[in-house]
Amino acid sequence: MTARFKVLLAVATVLVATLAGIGTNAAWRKPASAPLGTVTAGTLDITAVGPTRWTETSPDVSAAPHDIDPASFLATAGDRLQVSQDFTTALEGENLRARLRVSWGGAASLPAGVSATYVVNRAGSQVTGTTPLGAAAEVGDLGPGTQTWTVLITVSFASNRADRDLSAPVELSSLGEVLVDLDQVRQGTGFGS
Amino acid sequence: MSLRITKRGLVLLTTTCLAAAAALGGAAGASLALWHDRATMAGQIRTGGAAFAVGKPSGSLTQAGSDHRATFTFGPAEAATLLSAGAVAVPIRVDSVSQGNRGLRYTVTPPTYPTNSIFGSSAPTLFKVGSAAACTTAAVPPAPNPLTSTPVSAAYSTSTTPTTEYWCVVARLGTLPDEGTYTNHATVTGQSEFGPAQDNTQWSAKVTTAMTAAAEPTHTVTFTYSTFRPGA
Repeated sequence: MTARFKVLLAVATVLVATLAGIGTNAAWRKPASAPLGTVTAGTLDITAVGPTRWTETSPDVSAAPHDIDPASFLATAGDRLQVSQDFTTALEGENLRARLRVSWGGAASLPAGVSATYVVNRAGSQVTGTTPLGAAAEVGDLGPGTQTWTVLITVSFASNRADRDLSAPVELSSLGEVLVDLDQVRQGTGFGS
Repeated sequence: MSLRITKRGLVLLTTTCLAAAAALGGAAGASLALWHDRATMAGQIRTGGAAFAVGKPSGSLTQAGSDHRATFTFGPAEAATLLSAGAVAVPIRVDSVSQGNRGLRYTVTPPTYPTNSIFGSSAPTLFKVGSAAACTTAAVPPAPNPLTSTPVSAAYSTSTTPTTEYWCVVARLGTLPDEGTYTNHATVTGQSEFGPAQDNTQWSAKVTTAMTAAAEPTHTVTFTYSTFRPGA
């Protein structure tokens, strides 16, 4: 290996190392040893808590509100149902801010006379407006800590919708695939923009 | 200063750079991304239904249409029995299903019998009975005789088994429009050698009907249902 080649090799190595130092590596989750101490990776996590809960809230049903099994419940005109799913978010790290966003991966499918809206609650308090099913909603500037969230969907069957003929094919009201994303953002509290 | 790199050196340099890049995570795009996590939820629910049908107890039933009406008809065959036996009882079966939080009720509308028909001359009655077997010519309508029924309450149900009820038309043959007696009175007056003379004669005959069962029109009983919420 010539002296010139050694110089070139050194330059290339330094270049690669420099590029690697720019930005944050998303995969860092483990403590990393360093000569001057220990750097611990932060946390950004969202987790569904428990199963999705279906509740009948029809005002004219004396037993309501009560939990129902969506696999067997038969909804009819005038019914009102609530679908709720709890989530926890955990953010840990310096300068770590995040945004919670609800959107749809698979579209909702509601038959005529059925409508649905949703809200997002944080620790039981509503933090988004009432939003039609299928439209996105988000909550920004989440800071470090653990928080509990609830996506609360209200499904209403119009009281004047026609009776379904029992011999007709099965009719489903599908909520679609609801995506709840937690994204790190470099804005908001503590950032210049 | 000029650099001169041998072929062997170039291969070594390239290999070193690739190895370094691979050791740092390979995917350059991922290494610079902000963090992201996702959770999902989904769900669906079925709709309950309703069904309503009427017909002969032993025959097939006719489903109600989108107008929520189902009809039952009778006519010549039943009129033939009425003429021959002097009375007839026509049972009607009504099946009802309503799922979810909806009940089902219906009203019954009797036929409008033409006055010049056999049934129209036999004062038919229509009333609810407990079973098909209870529909006989001896059956009498209750008092009062509501022409409504609520076979399915609004209590939550997933049942597909119908609630079956029976109604009954009973007719007893009356006097038909072209039936009765004919009486002829005749008086003859004249002048005899003894003075005015007069004679009277009278005869009568029973007139039987010319109406036939085959000519009896079809009579339609209409059942109209609706579903309702609890408390309605």
